[in-house]
Amino acid sequence: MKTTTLKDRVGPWQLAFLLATLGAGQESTVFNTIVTAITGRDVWLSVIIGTGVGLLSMALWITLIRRFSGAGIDSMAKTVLGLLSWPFLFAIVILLTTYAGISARAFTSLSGIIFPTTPPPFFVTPLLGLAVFSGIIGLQPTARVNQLLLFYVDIPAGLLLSVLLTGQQRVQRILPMLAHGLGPVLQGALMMVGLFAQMAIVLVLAPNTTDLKRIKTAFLTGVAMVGFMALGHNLGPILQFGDLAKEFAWPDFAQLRLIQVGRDIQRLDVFAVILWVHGYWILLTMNLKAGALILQRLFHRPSDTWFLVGLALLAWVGSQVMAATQTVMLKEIQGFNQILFPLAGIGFPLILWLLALILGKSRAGTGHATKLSP
Amino acid sequence: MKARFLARVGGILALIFLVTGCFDGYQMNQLAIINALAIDYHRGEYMATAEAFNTTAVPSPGHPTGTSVGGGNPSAGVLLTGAGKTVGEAMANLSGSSSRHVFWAATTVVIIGSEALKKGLTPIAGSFLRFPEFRTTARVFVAKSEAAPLLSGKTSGMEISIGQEIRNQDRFLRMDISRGWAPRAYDVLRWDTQHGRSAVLLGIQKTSSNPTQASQFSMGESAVIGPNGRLQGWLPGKATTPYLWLVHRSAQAFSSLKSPSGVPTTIYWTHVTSRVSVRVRKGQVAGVDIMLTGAGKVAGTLPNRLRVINQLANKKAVAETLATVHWAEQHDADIFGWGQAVYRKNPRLWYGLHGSWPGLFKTLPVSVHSKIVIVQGGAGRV
Repeated sequence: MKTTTLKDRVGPWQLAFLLATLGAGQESTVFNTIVTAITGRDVWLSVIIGTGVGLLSMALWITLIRRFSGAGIDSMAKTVLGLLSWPFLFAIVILLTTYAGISARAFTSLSGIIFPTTPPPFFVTPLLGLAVFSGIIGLQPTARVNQLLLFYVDIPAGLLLSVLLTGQQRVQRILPMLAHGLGPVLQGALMMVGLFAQMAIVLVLAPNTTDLKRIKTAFLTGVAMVGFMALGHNLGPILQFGDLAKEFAWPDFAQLRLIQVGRDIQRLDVFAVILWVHGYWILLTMNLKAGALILQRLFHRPSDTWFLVGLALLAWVGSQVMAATQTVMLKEIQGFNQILFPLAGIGFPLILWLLALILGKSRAGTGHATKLSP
Repeated sequence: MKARFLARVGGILALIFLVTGCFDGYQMNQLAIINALAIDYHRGEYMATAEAFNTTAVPSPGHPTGTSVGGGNPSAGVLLTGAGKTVGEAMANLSGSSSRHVFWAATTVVIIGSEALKKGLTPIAGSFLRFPEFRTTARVFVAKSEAAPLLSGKTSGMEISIGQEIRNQDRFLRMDISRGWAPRAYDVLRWDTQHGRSAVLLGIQKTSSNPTQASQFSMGESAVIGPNGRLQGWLPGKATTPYLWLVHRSAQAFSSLKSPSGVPTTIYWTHVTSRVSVRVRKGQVAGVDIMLTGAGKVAGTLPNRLRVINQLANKKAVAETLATVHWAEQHDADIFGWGQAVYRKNPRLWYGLHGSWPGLFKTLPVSVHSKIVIVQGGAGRV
């Protein structure tokens, strides 16, 4: 059995925090816009339902990872399905790479608010370059930088901005609840399920974790963290604008632009840019790294570097040609998260788990697996 | 090893050229920083007039008093204009008329002329939302005639622009350095999504007509805009204070009071707030109960016992509140958001009204009670 290289080995909490950043970067931007537009003032109900399903889907993955002694989805699929697993695994690689492309496109839309005349490649190229660089130097240094940024920049800045916004927020703006029925709430919740399914798919990287005993607490905490942050990011604009939040292109950013302390301290929305860059950098790194690792293991290559570069190039091209307008981009992201990610992140592992139960398969026959810590 | 080293150097060099933001970088002297915007409507076109900070007038070590074209006394602001079929087009044409990059993000004051207001609030407010650089925190005022003339004229000093004078007047009225009574652009947008509610936009007027004197402003009648975005009427200045009590739950103002001894006295409402509840009984809107609480002050020698003045002041507060409610009912203008309160309480009841809210609002029984405590003291803040 071959183990992963040292530079790519991370602890379960490190991986959980990487997943949390992957989720947080998106839920404060594209998810916030899409779910608020669908659900309106009931968005917080969608987040709570979505987080509940997200915790269940993560529990399914934890069960699978433990059943297969820390194997990744590729090894599990090979054990259960044999050669039939290849199309499924290729589909996951394509899904992750395409989503990296559309996410890079979303990043250009966000950056365009601050820098309207700078051409999109000037945003995408350094960010994808950074993602490839992070993938090449390994998950361990990336996870360390991520932890520093998450706990010393993102969370303190997020808390500070939330406190500064409370003076203008009114709790009664969430009333009445369910005025348009349960339909929009469930549709919004499905979108949130997509986010948590995405986090689960990236657990292709599970063999890189060092300790299987602690993954349950770590991963479930990661999901809960994202759910909690999503609740804040989605509820804030509703308490601020009421149902008008549906009309904004980026509701969370729109409310940050309202912060004013005294007469002169304002424009604190610049903090949001730091959070975007961090979130999207981790998102691209994790998606591309997961895709490259699947390909490396499928083709039994010693290194994933050239797969990483190739997938990044495809994502770069995708970011330039996909979604001519922001509306189309948001529709495409909605499609990914309401259909494709739940299928790949929950449907596929569920089938594997059921088949494994029926066929009585439990250990990965080949590939990579994590050793249980003493 | 050498190839890896070269790749690293190449990567770092590439990052230098790809560092974002260069395309959007402007020097201060390349910018026309907009401070105030006036919107009028003339012969089928919107006219946008903007006051930009005159950056060449800013004193510098080489030019201690600033410089100006023609050698005259430099003004703190320069005016730019543009016209178009829509507000967005007028703003875009205004941007095109300047040799500088027009920077909208610092706009703090927007004044809408009465003719533009008649065309509806939505096309104006919608343009602000769609201009990504425009800050929705800008305060919105209305002018009873044209808005553009308010931005022309002298200011009290070259360090202050007319937009800042207007903004300061608004802050002074609220006695709060960072806030004011005038709604923000996003408040104006929010009215669209409220249920049968009319917007109240603070009116502004020039108090000095002498062109050689510095411009001075006062807040007068407020424009009331219906849910369809059209002008419903002008809320009298006297009715503004009870409106602020009921909607913003706070206002500082003065009222004159005639005491039983015949000596007039002045009550300073230092902090009056309200609790409004809409009664719903048996699936019907039964009425509105208003309770005024808070504090007021009476200055100088008391013409009567404080208890008597207290009773009179409370009666006055009730009468002024009822007068404001009566004005709103006469103009079919739910400026208090009671329709929205019905919707929040019972959305099914609201939808069941099928648009009959304006008629219902006119006949709604309203009861006002007041428990404001009057104390003797100076006119300072409590």
